Parts: sequence; C-alpha cells; structure tokens
Amino acid sequence: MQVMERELNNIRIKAASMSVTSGEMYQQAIRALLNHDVDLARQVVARDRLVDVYELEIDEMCLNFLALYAPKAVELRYIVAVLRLIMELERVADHSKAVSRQVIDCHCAALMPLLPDFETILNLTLQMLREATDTFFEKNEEKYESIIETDKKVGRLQRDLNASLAQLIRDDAGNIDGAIVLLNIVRRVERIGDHSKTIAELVPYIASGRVVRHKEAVIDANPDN
Amino acid sequence: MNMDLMTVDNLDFYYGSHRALKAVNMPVVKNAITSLIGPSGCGKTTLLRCFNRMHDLYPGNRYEGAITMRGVNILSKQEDLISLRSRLGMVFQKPTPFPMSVFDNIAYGPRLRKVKNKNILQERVEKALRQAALWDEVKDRLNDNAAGLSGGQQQRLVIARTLAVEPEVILFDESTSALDPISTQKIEELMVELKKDVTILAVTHNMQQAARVSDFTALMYLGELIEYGDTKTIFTRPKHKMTEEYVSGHFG
Repeated sequence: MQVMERELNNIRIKAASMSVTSGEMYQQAIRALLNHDVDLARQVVARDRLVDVYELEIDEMCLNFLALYAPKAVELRYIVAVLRLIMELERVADHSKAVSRQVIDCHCAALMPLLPDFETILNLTLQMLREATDTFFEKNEEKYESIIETDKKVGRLQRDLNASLAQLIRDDAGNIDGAIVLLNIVRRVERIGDHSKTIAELVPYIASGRVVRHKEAVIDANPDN
Repeated sequence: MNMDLMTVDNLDFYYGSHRALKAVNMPVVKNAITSLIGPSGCGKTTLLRCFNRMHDLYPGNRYEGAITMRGVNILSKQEDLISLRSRLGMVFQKPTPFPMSVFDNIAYGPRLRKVKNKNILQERVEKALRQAALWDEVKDRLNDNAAGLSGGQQQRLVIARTLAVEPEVILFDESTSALDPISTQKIEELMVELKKDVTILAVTHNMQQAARVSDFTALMYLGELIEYGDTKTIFTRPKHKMTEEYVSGHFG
C-alpha cells in the first residue's frame, strides 16, 4: 500500500539522517582530540542533543508504524532493526560526546605521540562505523563480514594500547593522569567499534531473518514445549 | 489545518422506544477519513446512517440533537433528502450495481439531475470511473452489464456512481468486508486518494483497516462514543481503558 511505503520511506530517511549526524560527531570528536581543538569539541557536545531528538522521533515513528500497519516479514524485521539501529547510534553519539568532554576538560595530548596505535584505532573504528551504516542502508550483506573482521583487529589494538599505557604508568608515575584519560578514551572508542558491528549484524537479519550475533547461543524455537 | 465539515452535537437516536445512540458528540474533519469502530451492535452503523437520513425510510425512528453542516442541521424536517443524499453518498457492504450497463450505472445520478447532453454525460462517466480507479479496466466494456464485473470492480463501480453526482461526503458502511484482500487494498488506496476531493466517514469491523487508512478514529460502545481522536493516538496511547482493551483485542 502506497501510504505504508511512504511512511516506511520517511522512517528510512530520518534514520539515515541520524546515521550521518552520529558519524559526523565521531569524526569531529576524533579531529578535536588529535588537534586538541576545544571549539570543535564543544560543537560535538552540543550536537548530542540533536541525536537524542532523532532517537525519540524515530522511536515514535516506528511505534506508529507498528500500530497502524502491523507489518509482516521483511517490513517487520526492518522496523525492529531500525529500533536497534537508533539505540546503537545514540550510544555512538554519547561516546563521541564523552571523548569531546575529555578534550575540553584536560590536556591529554602529551602521551599520544608515544602510542602509534592510538590514531590507528580511531581511524579503524570511524571506518567501521561508516561502513556499517552504509551497509545498513544499502542492505549489502557482503560488506558486513569485513566489518566483523575489523572488529577483531580493533579488539587486538585495544589490548595492545592498554598494555602500552600500563607500561607508561610503570615507567613514570607522572603519566598516570594522562594515561587514565587515554584508557577511558580507548575503551569508548572500542565500544564504538562494537556498536558498528551490531549495526552491521542487522543487515542479514533484515534480509532473511538470519541472526548472526551470539553464535554460541542456541534458542529453543518452542520454549513452551 | 484541520477544518470540521460537520459536527455531531448531542445526537440521540431512537428505533421506536429503543435509544440506540446516546448523546454522541464528534466532529467530522473535511478532506479526511474518519473511521467508526466498535463491537457489533455498538451503534456505529446507526450513527453512519444518520448522516444521510437513511433511518427516515422506516416509521417510528426519531433523531434528537443535531448534525450540523455549514450552520444547517441536516436532521431538520425541512431538509430536502434527495439533495442531501446526493451530497452525502453511501457505499454499502455488498456491491449494489444496478442491473444495467456500466455506463448507465454511472450516468444514472447525473440523468436524474436532468443532465441530457451526451458529451457531458460521457465526460462525467469517464471522470467518475477514473476517480474510482476503474476506467482502465472497463473502458472497453462500458456497454456490458455491470453484473459481469468482479466483486471488487463492482464496488469501485458503486463508488464511481456515487462520485458522478459530485458528493461532498462519502459514507462507507463496511465497504470492503465482502471483498478479497487485493480488492480491499484497491478500495483502501482509492479512499486515501479520494480524500483530496471528498470527506470520508467509514464504518469498519476491521480494526487494522481503520488503523491503516483513517486520519481520525471513533470508538463506540452501547450507543455511546467512548473516544474520538487522531488515529495514531487511538492506536498507540488511547485515553480510555476501554479503547486500550478494544484496540488490543482484549475487549469483552
């Protein structure tokens, strides 16, 4: 039905705008961090409210869509996926805001040149986020595999960075403050990678209902039996 | 901006001594679709039939209160029913084609209104059939008997016949309940298309249909209007517990 398709398209457009905004926020947070650009960091903090509004609006649109059109099959899965997507994007924006706050509150640049992997993890997770949202809107099932591979790489980088930061603390107690801030940032950056992975995992779910997360967990199809 | 085409003010309706509608108040918004929902016997069809005074066909029926359209109470004794019913057309549950050709079915109303010019009649017929999304399917068989059309086509023919006299309002009384899902979808799309030109009031047992097509929804129960509101609110955050129970299927 045309009205239903129009509504579905409105949801798609709004969710895509939210993806763009969250992605830009993370990109700007990275730039603010690397260049210690406090003004840019402030802009990111201010933009977080916009993402919150997007989340509420899309949530409402999905609720209305479910109530009014009772979608089935691919459309039902799409709405469920959008509801998950916006939660992930909202978290990405929150982490970007938190990273920007660190830029505003303290000078954490001193240790960064000692950690060559630091910039790598920032760029990798930004790339993951972009690819994940592109994949979501293009419904390109093949891309998501590479995002999952990248996520493993991000996990390894996080472990290495944590070890390097611990070593810096052991080497010089004067590094403690800066290292704690960077540990926190690395943790948030790794979380953004996780959120991107979750977004990518929604793509096969929309296409065929295939659930690819938590591979080790098996659900009983008939829990009442 | 929503504009009310009609308002129902404290409307009571009696079948003899039985009070079937109790102090109903609601607006009917212009160029919108309003659905009346509720369990069987709740009065929704009774209310719909007040709008074109169908109840006047039987003695002993009585209206109290008003349905006001442009400052005039259409329930008043002075109202000219022929003119009223051409302004408020009605489409019933089962298609009611007249036993005549497709063309004559549509031309019936205009001919009653003394339109004799063949060209004008042809224009009217084509316009109405196009508005009802039936033209492409019947343009080569305008002289065939309407009884030969499928159920869904017959229902669209009836809608076209209603449109041919250029009504302001179309009242749909369960107009898709005798149709298959594909024909139902066509009628629903047609209703949404038609609200550019007319105001629609529809009775439906199919709650999902009310949700899909209507802008406003009214829930009735035991002759009373329980809740009226925009459809999104009624189906997501109704104010009354009874509405909540009815739309979620837990009623009664």
